[in-house]
Amino acid sequence: MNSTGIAARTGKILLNAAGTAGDSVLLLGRAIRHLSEVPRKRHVIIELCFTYGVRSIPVTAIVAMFSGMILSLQTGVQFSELGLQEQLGSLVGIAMCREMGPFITGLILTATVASSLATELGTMQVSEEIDALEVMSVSPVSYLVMPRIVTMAIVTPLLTILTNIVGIIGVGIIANTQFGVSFQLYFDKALDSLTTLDHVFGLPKDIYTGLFKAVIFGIQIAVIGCGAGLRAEGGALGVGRATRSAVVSAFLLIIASSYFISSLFYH
Amino acid sequence: MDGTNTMSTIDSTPPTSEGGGSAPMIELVGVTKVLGDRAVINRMNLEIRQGEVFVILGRSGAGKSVTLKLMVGLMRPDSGNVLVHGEDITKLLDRDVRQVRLKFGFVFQFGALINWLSVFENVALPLREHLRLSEEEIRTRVEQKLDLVQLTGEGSKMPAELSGGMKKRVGIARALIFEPLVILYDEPTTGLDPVRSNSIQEVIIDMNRRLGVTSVVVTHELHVAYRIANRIGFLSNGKIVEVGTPAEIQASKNEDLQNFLEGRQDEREERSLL
Repeated sequence: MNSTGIAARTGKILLNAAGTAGDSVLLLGRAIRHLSEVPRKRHVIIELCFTYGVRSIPVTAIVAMFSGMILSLQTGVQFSELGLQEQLGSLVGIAMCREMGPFITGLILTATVASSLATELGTMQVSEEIDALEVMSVSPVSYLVMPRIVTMAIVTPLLTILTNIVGIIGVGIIANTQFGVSFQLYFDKALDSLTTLDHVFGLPKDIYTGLFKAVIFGIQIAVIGCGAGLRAEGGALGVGRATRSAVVSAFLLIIASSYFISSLFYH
Repeated sequence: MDGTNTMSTIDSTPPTSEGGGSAPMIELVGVTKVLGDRAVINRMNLEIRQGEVFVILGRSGAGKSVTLKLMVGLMRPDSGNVLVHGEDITKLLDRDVRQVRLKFGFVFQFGALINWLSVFENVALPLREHLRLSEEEIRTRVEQKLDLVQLTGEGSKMPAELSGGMKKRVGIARALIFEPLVILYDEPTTGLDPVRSNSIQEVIIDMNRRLGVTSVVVTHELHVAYRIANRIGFLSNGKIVEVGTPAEIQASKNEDLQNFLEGRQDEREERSLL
């Protein structure tokens, strides 16, 4: 491909990305206009919390446990060479709650929920179910998108709390069995590290910033997954493309927004 | 329209009226719709009269389904006007178009049932979303419509458990739930065996005769068109090139139409296949 071709292709990709971003912002705006319907749709939201939240608990817990154990193993070796293995709790408490907990949860939900939303709504789009809603004067944003955004804004921070707890336990197990740090000391250090900074509603800063991130990640995953599904066209191939696009976009957005939220709170 | 008009058995006598009245229910005036780089609909003019069964005939890919979507505002034309009961829906905001759509029922080719809802809940969906009715009233209305399409007692089934014909009949029951003035049918009998096809045709005729519903039916099945239509429009090259009663259509001298009726390829098609 010559340089003109590369430039044209790059330009097209950037234009598509800008268009998708614009569509997502518009979709979020339209969903916000339907928030007043939350009480009426509470039964749907509770059902979705089960589908996207409760069913994600096993995979979230397993990934969190192993991530914590890997983190402990790698940092523990370095810390023990310096005689600092007793500080594992301090490091891990902050790392899990500020960054790793929301990040791990976000990635798990990107793989499971963003893909599922894109496939579900994409299939509805290509099988004319979305058109059927429109013809019945039922807004797909009100009926499908808004309840999913609210659901993800609820379940993502809850799953993040689970990730934090299981991850910290995973680190503790390795700290105790591999580096001889007592559980008592490890958990005391972990808790101390989380109680030294300012509080909001009784929550230490390290925890509430992590949960804030989780809420943002949840909203992003729902908006991107639903948006990709609603834009799907061209049958099964189009649904596959929508799913891939949703996972890649949500993944990139989570990494980028994680950095910017951290900058906002800690610099 | 009053829901008490519904009947327990289907009257399958073909429609005999010439449209029940001459007032236009839907008008397409100079409508053009471009998809990709092709004008699927090209300066189309079409008038659907109140109370008639109008069949749009045409080859696959001729733009029949697009015409239906333009009528109900699911697609906006690139130019031209779409008038529903005299109101130009191309000039309305999306929320106002939604209000106009409440006059319509739309039966999709494959039913387009929401796959996680039961038959009952699919039919009840518009009621739950738009009205505040008691559970008892919703049940009464839904069961009435299911009776109408001969699906009594099938409410608890899921869409995956239904045959193609049953899905279409659920689609018709759902389209009828607000007792619309117009029902648009997209290929309602395509892919069905003769018995199922016949029962769908009977339902369409019956809706027109008993409830006075204006019906627009898209199909490429000639026997269906001849049986159910008051008038037939033949769609070719993005335009309605011939309109008339079934007898007039069969006697038409239009070469394109005669090629279609007799299953002959026209010159353009032959060239495209070479």
